[in-house]
Amino acid sequence: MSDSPLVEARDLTKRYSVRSRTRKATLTAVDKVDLSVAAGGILALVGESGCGKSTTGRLLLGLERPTAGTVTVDGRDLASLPAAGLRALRREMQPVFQDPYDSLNPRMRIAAILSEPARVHRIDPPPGRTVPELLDLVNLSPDYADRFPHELSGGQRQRIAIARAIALDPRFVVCDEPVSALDVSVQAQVVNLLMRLQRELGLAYLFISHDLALVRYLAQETAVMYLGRIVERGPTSALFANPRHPYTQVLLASVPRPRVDRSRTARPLPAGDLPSPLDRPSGCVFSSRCQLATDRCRTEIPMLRPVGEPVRLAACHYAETAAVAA
Amino acid sequence: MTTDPAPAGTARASASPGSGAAPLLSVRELRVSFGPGRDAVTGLTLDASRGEVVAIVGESGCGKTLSALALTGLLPPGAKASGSARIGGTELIGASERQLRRLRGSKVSMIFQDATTALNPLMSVGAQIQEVLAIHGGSSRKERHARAIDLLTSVGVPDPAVRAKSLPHQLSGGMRQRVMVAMALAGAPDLVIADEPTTALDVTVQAQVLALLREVTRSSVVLFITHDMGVVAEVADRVVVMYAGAVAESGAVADVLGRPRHPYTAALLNSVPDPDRPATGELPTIPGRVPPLGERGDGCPFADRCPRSTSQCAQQPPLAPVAEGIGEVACWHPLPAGAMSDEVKTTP
Repeated sequence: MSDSPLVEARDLTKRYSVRSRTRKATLTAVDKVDLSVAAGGILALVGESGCGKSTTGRLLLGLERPTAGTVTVDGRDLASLPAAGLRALRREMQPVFQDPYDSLNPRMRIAAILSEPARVHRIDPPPGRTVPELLDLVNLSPDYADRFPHELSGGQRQRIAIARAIALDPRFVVCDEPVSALDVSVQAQVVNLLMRLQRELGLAYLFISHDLALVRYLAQETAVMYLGRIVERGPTSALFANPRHPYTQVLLASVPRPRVDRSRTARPLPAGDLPSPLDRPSGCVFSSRCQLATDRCRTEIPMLRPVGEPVRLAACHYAETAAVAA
Repeated sequence: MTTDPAPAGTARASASPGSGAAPLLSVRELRVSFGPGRDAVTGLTLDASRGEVVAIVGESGCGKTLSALALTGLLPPGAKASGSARIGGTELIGASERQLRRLRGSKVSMIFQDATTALNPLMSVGAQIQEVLAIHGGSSRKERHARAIDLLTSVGVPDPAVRAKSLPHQLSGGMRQRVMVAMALAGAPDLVIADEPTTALDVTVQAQVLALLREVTRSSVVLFITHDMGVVAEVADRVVVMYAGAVAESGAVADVLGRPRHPYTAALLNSVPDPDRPATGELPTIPGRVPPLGERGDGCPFADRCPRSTSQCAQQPPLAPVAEGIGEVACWHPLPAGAMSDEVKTTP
């Protein structure tokens, strides 16, 4: 990672108040998260549903206001920017969402979808970003400009969503499960496209995914989230080769491998289900499912601290020795 | 159609090696058609014995789900099944709605991907399990209640007596899927069809449910429909790879995944990154797209995407046994037995 990050989150926290007939509660979706994405770098954010990874992505884009903590882009605090400044900065930060069926307006032709960002920002398309050039960048022929989204396959639609994201020449793109809705052979095509654009245009990605194999392939840095907290963060290779947080260990072990070279039963399974984010365990958030949990884990929140070889940050009281058994 | 040995020239996946017993499930030349020239499944043949888990794997539109629906008589309007599928001697294809209603739940049951939509949202999960028991058994209300709680216990639902009173939305996704498994097992079926049963689940919960499925289905045949080769490796004994309505390859999981013979199987396996081996460079992709229904010619459906295709591939290759095992492959130019071919690995 370079010295000064492009996007940085400090102590980022997002709480929602939830009301039902019977109770009023606070849902902590993101809890004191520190993250940074280097210019031209890729940070993967992994975790299971409800862990807060998508909310984190939205906070980094300034689509949601944090309850506490800050997001800075190029050293500028999103919360303290005037509306016009935030609007200008938004050009630099774009999302690609999971579902290419929901994220494209079905009544707009592709040309209109791709020229909309410039129209919204009342600017001319940046050099090299006319509609035909954008289609070319995502390997689609120029005659797609006249079509409607429903005439396109899922993979082609996701290419359009990517083209729209890069239409204003951004520096930072939040990819939120960009290939999860696609067939595997199409996934590989879209991943290759994202990687080529990242290299050629010098983009920085926050790559939100539950697909650990994909994350290992494409991200230099990985952060693992569980119930709103980052439990482990560091170089991807370090996390995969020698995970130090019990949750990371269990998560990695749970990924089904397309091989029959090991016993099907000899791997650690987490106990029980994900707790509701409304009802998070005290102390370590993973303590209710961790087979290594002690009384200390149930009372004292573990802080992220450097541990392991190669070194990374892990939030576990026993990160030095933690080894979840089969 | 009969269950007699396959006619000469028609290859079939044999039952588990060494077992002389007649297969419990026997599917012969199953076809699902939406009209002339619109065959969505073009001849599925497989056998399976009690306790076996057979995975049908492929991408969207390959015909895996339609094959399963054909066995349960749940095909969408306009689709017609032909061929034969026998479970314990009972023919499923062409059975009347009355016969099918009796078979569903008792001989054949199904686990769907999305338990949220498959369960009745207004009925407690215990009552839904008891409903299955009431339809199929002559048991008393009290017996059904006890049996429902037994079933919930067997699928690892904690506090089953309390959870039985829960409505589906009060349970987590993993718990709901366990309830679906309990319902599917309530009638002690010979055949359990599981259609992407863990696709909507988180990976740690998926691992739990897969382990459960293997554990509780030992007295049935399980047809496990999935797009995920990792899940295949996890649960299945044998695998059938489908492409564009046809069987591309089938065999023991270790053989098919470890030494794929069909170029499509190899390409599919290669396009998924491996979490244990960091890849470098571009991910291998399969160029082109699956031919849509109605645009499938007479030849091998994979021919125009295949790095090994020749003029011979304009003719549909038959499913032929592979010499060294119990598998079979539908390819004129199968990959050599041995390691994965680099030729397919580096498809541009």
